[in-house]
Amino acid sequence: MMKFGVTLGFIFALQAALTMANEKVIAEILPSPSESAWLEIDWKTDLWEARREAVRTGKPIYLWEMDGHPLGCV
Amino acid sequence: MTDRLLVFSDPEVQKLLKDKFVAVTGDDWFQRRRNDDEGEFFRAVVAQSPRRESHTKQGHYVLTAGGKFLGFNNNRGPERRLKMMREALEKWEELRDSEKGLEVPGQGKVDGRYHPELPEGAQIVKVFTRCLEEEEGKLRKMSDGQVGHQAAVDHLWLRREEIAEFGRLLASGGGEFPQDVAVRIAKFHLLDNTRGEPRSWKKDEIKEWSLKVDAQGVISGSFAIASNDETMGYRGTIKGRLVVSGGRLEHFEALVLGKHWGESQYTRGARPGKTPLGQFFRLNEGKLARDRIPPQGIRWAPGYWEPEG
Repeated sequence: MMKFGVTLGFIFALQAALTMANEKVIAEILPSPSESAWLEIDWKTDLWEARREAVRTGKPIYLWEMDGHPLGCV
Repeated sequence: MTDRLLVFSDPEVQKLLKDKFVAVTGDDWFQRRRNDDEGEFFRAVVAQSPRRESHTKQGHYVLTAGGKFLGFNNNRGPERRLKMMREALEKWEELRDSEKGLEVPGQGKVDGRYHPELPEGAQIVKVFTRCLEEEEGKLRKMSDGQVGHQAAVDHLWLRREEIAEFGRLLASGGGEFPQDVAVRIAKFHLLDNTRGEPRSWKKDEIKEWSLKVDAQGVISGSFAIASNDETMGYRGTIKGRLVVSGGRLEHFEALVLGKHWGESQYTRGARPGKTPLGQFFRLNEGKLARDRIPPQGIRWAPGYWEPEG
């Protein structure tokens, strides 16, 4: 029983350590606040909706076009 | 991605965009092909711009709601972009009110081939990818300034019936991921997209594959994928956790760590040799427009949904 308890405890400790290590790596992978600053702009994704809003607000449209969605993979 | 850091993180650009423009994004690959009102509108704007003769229509346009072209720029760097924006605003100010405030017509039938939308009941998993460096046994993000040092983002879409299949799998004690989901992840999401658009993997390039979930929802897997000439490849492990409740994913997280090598036509500048790559998959509620944009790999939708076919 003791041996089982020690073994189980060791496994839990190992899992916890692995999880902490994972969390550190995940934090390295995720975009940092400075990388995400460009998302402070209220980017729309629907050109027709942007047209309607442009009329409503009396503003011109700024359209960012890329091969590969600008808010996506590239 | 340079635009994101250099231009759209610039406070002056941000202020001008927020105060004076309606900012919208589009995937040129879809938009220039759309055979519907939006496609026609876009092509009519491009026809007034310096991009009229180009195959690609990539770039930054300023236009009115009615489709009058006011400015274009495709240079990186805030100064030139600000200059273009200010010049476009001057043109805007010179327009008659009737040119600024046209009534926007209703949108006709949408060309679904080039306007993929999240299917009813489907869910979104955001996929973050980053080139890593190994230092004293620890993985860190690649140093700033190196090509491809930024995190890339894509979206994995899972259909309602695939999520239900996960539920059945958990209830029956676990097993291999549903085949379509597994191949979709392998072909379209285990990619290094940190320097641009990578090509997707072909089925016969998946040399080794295992991706399982157990009864507790613990995900584990390993993979080896490589082009047949072995100039490009990715080998690694996957671990994570998923929870299904009431036919919906309540939780989905997976960490992929591996070594990637090589590059494809639009991802030039890869580091030499086999280098660490990290990916993190996380369930997203899709509340923001930017979270609902389609997966990069869905350009041919049947191939994305049924990648075995």
